[in-house]
Amino acid sequence: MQTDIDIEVTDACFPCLIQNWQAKQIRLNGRSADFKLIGENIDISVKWQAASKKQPVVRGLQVKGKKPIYLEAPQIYYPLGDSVESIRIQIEDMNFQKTSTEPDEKISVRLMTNEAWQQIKLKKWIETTGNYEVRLWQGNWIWATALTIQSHCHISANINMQPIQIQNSKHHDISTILPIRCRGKSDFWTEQITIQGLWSFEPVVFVLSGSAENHIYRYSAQADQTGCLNLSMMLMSLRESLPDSDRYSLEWVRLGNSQELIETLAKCYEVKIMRYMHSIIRGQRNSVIAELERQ
Amino acid sequence: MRGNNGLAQLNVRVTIPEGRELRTEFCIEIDSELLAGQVHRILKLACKERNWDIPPPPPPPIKDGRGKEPIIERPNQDISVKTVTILSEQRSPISQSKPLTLTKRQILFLLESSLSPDYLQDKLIQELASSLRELEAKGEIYAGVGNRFCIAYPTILYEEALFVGDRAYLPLAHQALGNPVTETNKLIFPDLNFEVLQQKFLECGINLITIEQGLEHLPETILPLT
Repeated sequence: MQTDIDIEVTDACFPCLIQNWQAKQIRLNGRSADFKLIGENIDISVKWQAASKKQPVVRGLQVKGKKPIYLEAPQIYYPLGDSVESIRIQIEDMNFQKTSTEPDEKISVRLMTNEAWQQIKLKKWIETTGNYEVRLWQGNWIWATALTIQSHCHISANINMQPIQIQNSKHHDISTILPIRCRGKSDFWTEQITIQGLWSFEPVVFVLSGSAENHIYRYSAQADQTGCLNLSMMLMSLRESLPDSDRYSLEWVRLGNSQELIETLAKCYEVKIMRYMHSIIRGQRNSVIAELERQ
Repeated sequence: MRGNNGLAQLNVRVTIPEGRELRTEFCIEIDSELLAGQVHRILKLACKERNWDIPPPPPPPIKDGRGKEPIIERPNQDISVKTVTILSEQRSPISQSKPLTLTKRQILFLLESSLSPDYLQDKLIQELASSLRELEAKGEIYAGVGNRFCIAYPTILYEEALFVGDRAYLPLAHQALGNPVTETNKLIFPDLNFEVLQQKFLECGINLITIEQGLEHLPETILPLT
């Protein structure tokens, strides 16, 4: 056998009923090709041409995946151009083993038009989700396809939303108790905070405030594709955004609710406690002195 | 108006009629009709706070032959609706509560496979780009790194009783209000105050916000460079 460049001989081997004959599967890759069979008493040349230039195509809203799964009854685009007046259609519901088209269902084909395709809406015959088989035929031409239709995704009322998890450098595996309290300013800026469980690419607002009332800086950040937001770089970059202050706090706003994330322990409180302690000690000493003097 | 995280670009022209003060009357021209609605809402809110009047938008100007006709690039509504559906339907089988992200190319492929075989690809690419911009500005989708997009968190805009974002939660929103489930994203609020409504929606994972809260993530406005 001599073959053209557009003919592919597959590896498949078939038994043949005719003695001394062998079956070979060949495939046409282009539009048309020639092949020859040459033997002892045989010399045949065959011209092989694809029957129709265009095949119908199925189009419809679908979900991403290897196999097309449609979200609603799709449309078939039938190629126009041949002088065919009508085609037959049959749709079978594979789940219920029943035919949804009439036994003599026909679609009249538009003639005398410049359009390349005729749209056939399947909505009329496919009303519910499931598996269907669609067949179109006319004369000895036949075309068939299998369809899967899935319903739109609806969340039910008792859905479990993944809770937000906030971790910092001290607590890697458990959720941190908020707000995180830092002893010094340098601890504040270098704290490693990670927020998990956000929506993909969710925008989140952060509000940094200093000790003075008008020292407020708003910053917006965005979660990554997995809904995770790492604040370490952000905190470092915010360092210069406010004038120097003896205490800082960072708040985050999500879904209309704000929550304090991290703050520095106020130095003034520490000073106050020290003074209080001193006064107690001094007071005690004074009372001891007074006691001694009385004696 | 341009956000640091790739928000829609908006060309705004402020015209102050001669001999008038800036504060008395001015006109803003926006080259996108959908965004114009959004800006009108923001202005309405700002003016309400300051007790200013905002007149209804004037009728379109009559062509005088001198000025160039403004190019209004209206996104194809069919493409916008389909994009919202496509992004709402991509979910991982493990956690249904959250949608997956898609690249622009993946969205383009899914849109293409829903349209007529002779729909021009170049036209579709342009329509998708303008739809994505408008949808992001309306809070329907989030854009992220790597040209990826995600349907936004299910959110209801309080002033307009409008549902935006993940449509998988839309039936829940109608149910929470005790209304029949329909495909429309316009909700009908019962006579309840903001806090009660917010609690109702929060229970089903939907966020109720005011316009003011919705604008919080936008960057601070700055004067344009001259």
